[in-house]
Amino acid sequence: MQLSQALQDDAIRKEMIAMGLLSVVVVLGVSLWMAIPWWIALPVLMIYLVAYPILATVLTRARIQLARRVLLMTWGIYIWLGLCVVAVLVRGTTAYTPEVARRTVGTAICTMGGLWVVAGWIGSQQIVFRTTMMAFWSVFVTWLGLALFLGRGWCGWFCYLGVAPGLASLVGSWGRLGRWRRRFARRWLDPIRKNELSPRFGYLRHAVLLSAVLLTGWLATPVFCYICPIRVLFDQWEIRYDTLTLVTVSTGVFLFLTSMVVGPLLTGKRIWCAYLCPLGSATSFIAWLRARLNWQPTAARIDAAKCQECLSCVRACEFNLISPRAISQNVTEGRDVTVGSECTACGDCLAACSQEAIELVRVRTPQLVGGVSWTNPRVQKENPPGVELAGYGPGQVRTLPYVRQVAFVLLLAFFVFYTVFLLKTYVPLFGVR
Amino acid sequence: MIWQGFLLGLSTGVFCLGYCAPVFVPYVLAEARPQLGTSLGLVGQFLLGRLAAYALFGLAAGYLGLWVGGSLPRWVIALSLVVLSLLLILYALAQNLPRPGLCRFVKGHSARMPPVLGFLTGINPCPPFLLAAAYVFEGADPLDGVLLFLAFFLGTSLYMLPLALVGLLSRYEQIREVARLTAIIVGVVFLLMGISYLLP
Repeated sequence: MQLSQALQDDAIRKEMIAMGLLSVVVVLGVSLWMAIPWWIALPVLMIYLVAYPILATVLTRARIQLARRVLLMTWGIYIWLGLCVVAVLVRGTTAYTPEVARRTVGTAICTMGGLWVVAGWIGSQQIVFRTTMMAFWSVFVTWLGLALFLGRGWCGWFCYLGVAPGLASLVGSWGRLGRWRRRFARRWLDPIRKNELSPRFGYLRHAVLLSAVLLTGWLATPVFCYICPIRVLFDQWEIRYDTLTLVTVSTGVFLFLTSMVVGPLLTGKRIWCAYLCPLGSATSFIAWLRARLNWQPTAARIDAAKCQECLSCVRACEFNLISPRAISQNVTEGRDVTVGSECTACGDCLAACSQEAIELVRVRTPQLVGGVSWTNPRVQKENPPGVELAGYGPGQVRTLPYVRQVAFVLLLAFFVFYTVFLLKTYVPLFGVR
Repeated sequence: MIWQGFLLGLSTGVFCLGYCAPVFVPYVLAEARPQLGTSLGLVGQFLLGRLAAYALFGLAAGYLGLWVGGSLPRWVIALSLVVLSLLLILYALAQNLPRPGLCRFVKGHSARMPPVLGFLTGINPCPPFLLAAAYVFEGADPLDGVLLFLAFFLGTSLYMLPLALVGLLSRYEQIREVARLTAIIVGVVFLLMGISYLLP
């Protein structure tokens, strides 16, 4: 869809006007709050107003997954690089050792750390993560707000912790990794690639979250951080030669290599995000709550009339949320299949489907594990065939407006203000440190 | 002494909740127990186990008057953690693997687990527990020690009762699955901690 075509669509035109106004409010609000001079705020506003129609045009194409990947990867890499630069400037290293902890205020808290702060405070009335309250609130409230707003759209569109598995799975999905893949494929990789693993694996990340929360409350220390694979990238451990350190650090490195690099490379799936991530589990819970409250999440629906059961969507879904069993049980009998609140609305399945049988719709299916409680009698009942779901009928623009809007505003806000923050903090021309 | 123990328990009971939850929550959720009465019964049994541990410790601490370092010997804590972890892991495995001999044995005796879990959790010193112990060490009287720990137990137990409500969630199969996996993960962490305490 070209820009001129997009502008002819009434809904898109209204959306652009609304987004323009929202941009003005956001930019002015943040500028006043952070005391950003007008000569920075004005160009930012211009960027917003010019970039939104362009981005909206890109995103109204069916192949939204390309834009999503670019946004997610760019954002993620930018955050990691920014964090590393700040860490090196402030404490001289990206590692987070007890010695570093003693001589600095704390660490840049990650979103998962926010969960442990809350768990520790409830369980043992202690602040278990050495960081500033500002950092805690900014990451935790950002995640909470986005999860409340988007459900698991957070995982598909925003989670910068998923950059490593996302990149690896992207390379893996291009995949002609040849002999390596073939050698392991049949026994180890095919069950993951075809989403044929036992449903118990789907529960694993919830168990990781529950045990980490309980243990953090018990030990008054962020237990998960000791084995967190993301610490290979940032806040690296201090290697000490005692049993506990060796076990925890090796576990972290092992998890990083298997679930974030090698596994996704070989399977094209984000194994960490699909099976292990406690933050994903917490987000799932919020998405489930949203669906229970009838705040309808956006999810993929497979049209039984068009589906050829080629299962290309199953292989395309990086989060393994589309169950081949659900397709074979429902599509053959003419029932549509809808992913529930677990859907990350990434759009990969849309792009993979050669029959154009999949679209993103709003559903009311609470779901906590992908591919299990997955069939859709309730959705069928509420949305009988032939009833067009508001604005998302077949042949219409196949995208998800609210994700697009929020993605745009937040990503741009983050890019710009994070840059301003860095400049003001570290470049004398822009401010005083 | 009784009043002091009770107030101490009341003021620090949330800590105790934080210490007992990792063991008790996975246990109470791992099997279907939809009735509140059943869950309350389990909490009661768990508390009885804790009571036994407290009474025993109060008696010993009061009798000895002084305990080296104001705490239990390290190897006792380590052993209790190892036993606790093995029990949790076996219990969780027994729910899904009922056939193997050991798992069948554990499943057959799972009804007796809450007091054992309570006892093993009770002898793991948490901060309020050590605080209560400090009072007893000063008094150096076995009877006072037992009374203080009984009152302390009563004070902290009030915070444990809401754990019974958690049991209501066990009606969902998905939550039971998550609880079993959680029991295994918590068990592995306890096992590692116990082994690291045992190593020089």
